[in-house]
Amino acid sequence: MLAITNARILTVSHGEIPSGTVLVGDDGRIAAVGADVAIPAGAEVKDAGGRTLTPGLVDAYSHLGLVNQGQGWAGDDADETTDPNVAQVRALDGIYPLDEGLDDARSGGVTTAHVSPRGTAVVAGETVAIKLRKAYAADQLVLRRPVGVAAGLGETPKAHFGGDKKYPATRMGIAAILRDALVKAADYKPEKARDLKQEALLPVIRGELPLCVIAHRSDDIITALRIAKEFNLKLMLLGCTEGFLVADLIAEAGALVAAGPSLAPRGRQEEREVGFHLPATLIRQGVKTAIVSGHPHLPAQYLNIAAGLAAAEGVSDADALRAVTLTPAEIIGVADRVGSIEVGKDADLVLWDGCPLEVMTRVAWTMVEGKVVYAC
Amino acid sequence: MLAITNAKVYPITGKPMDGATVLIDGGKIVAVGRVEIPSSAETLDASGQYLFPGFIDPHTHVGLWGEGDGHMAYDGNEWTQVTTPQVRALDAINPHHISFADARSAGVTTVQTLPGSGNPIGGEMVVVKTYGRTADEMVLRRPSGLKGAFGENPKRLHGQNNKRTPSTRMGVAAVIRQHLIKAQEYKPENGRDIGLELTAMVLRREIPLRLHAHRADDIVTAIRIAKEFDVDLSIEHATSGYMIADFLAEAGYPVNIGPTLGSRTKLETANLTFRAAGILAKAGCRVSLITDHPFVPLTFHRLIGALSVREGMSEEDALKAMTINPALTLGVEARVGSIEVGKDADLVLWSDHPFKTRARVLATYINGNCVFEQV
Repeated sequence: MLAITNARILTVSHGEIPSGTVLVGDDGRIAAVGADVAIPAGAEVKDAGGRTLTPGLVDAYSHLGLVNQGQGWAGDDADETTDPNVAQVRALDGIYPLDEGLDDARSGGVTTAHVSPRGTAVVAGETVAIKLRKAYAADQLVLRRPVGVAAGLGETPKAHFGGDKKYPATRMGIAAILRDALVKAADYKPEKARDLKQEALLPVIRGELPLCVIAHRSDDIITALRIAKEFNLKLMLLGCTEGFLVADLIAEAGALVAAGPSLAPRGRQEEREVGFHLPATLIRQGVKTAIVSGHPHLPAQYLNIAAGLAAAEGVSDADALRAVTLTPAEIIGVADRVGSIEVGKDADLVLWDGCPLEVMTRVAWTMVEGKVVYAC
Repeated sequence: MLAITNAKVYPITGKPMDGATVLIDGGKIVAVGRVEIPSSAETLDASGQYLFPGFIDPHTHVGLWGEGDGHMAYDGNEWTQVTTPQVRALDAINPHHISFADARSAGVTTVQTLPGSGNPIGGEMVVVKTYGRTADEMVLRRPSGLKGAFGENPKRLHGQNNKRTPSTRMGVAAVIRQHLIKAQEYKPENGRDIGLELTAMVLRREIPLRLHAHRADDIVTAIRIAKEFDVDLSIEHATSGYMIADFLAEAGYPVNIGPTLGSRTKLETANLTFRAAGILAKAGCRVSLITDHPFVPLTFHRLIGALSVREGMSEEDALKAMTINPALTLGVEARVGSIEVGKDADLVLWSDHPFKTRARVLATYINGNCVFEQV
């Protein structure tokens, strides 16, 4: 048993405890939270010194472990670009647990990440939620698999395939490929011959898992909504740069949004409207919105700063913190385990030496399931 | 005449002053501190606000690098040749590009803008103010240096993509040396060459060579060549420079560090860390912080200072690295880089200290004119 005492606790789910204790069981779960928690005899005590304790941050859109730091081409496995439909590939098989990017993420208080292929292929492969435990095998990181199947719309597939004079060269072609893939999977007869490409899409077609569509321009977002409606799919939008232009329609469709990164350059034409007006508008519209890193586009260790900059754009502090903890946990289907400081949830905790939304604030330590994975 | 009163003033070259006045006339700063305000002056009460000199970013591609503008807007690298000293950043600057508006709204009033790092010898650099109708009227210093590059970019662009020299670091150094020798032997009477004219200015030490070098060995090669040819040098990027901090400090060349608010996308950026600037400043180097806009958008310029402080740099050093240090490195310190009498009235009024997450630029002044106002 571990007792973290004398902490300002931002539970996210149940408000703030100005000075309290969190008990962590030997199973790595939170056993008690409150202002007056009796510390069992024999418990190890960790005095927070009045500093701020939050749940570990959850990043709803990243390529963590798929794009390795400082490795260039050799360490980039986020993108199986050899066919416009690669539903059969799995993010899990590309994750390198020893990538420095994971250490960086831990140093910024990130403990859970949704890892997705990049979406140069129109149907880009299976996504996975990982815990940033200290581990050497990707399987040891898994929190939930699969989370969904990634798809890419807009300029990236158009430039890659069309640029090579291959199908698809237009947004029309991209939408057609996505529809074809869904139709084929719906008609799939495993008894004839097993086909992993069709198999991967079955839970999406059945509405059990979301199609995770990387889309930036507002018309691409609308195309995603249109196709999701046609096939009665659950939809998660990733990136979503121009989502602020169609926020009401996204809200009406009930799509989940992993918005960003907004702390990023205007790389492609479809990203020219990038900015923190995106999460601010979506949250105001009532869309379930996570603020994300898109790591390595924005390195995941700056996720708290992204939340802070959203607060600077008018999002309340509580909503900004929720957008990097409980909301992303809900979006990727792991809120029963992570995203808030509640009894029964995993003891994924971060101690900050100041306001977690301030750029100058440092992480004192990051904990996953009761084990410290980073200490300043 | 404008008097900005009651602000917390950070002159940079002196201690911060509470409730001070800065008096502006004819585009210049005419008084700072406890000042008698002339009756003819317009007064701006800046109580509770912070007044800083306009920030300076000595390494950007503002105005000449497309951002979500499509292929036709990219004018960063004249990659069709290996050495292009004849090309000038000035000729590609679009004063109406959104990047200048970004700069003004982020409190950045002076930038050096430059050709990319695809070529071992890339072209002429220019220092501009971030407001104007034509590129020419924005110029603060031209030419301000000759761009060159070591490492992965020239290897990839020429060796790998175009199957021509250079394809190795040896090749890059050889191309740069050969070019400098060509300039040494240049005789205008045998035919004018505008590229070699610029390089001849480097050899006469009228402008520095400014060399892209991330990896420590590339930095050392840059210094080796600068010493061989007895030229001035600034080291651009230097993201691994902290690993040879004592060597760099002894060499005495200024270092422009960054872009650091990003990931280690290339092998040569494998050692990227916000600790770098503090380590090099402590070692005695003249450090400036760079965004390399658009690679880190100027919108977030203040964060590179804040994060350098978070990782160990003193606040005073970080603020210098965004103001007076780049002014010195660019040779424009007589005009900009601090709040001092006689300097250009390039001033930024902030709602809070710029290293606070929620700080906002309330107004930006260039040459005494308000060029951005928070609405």
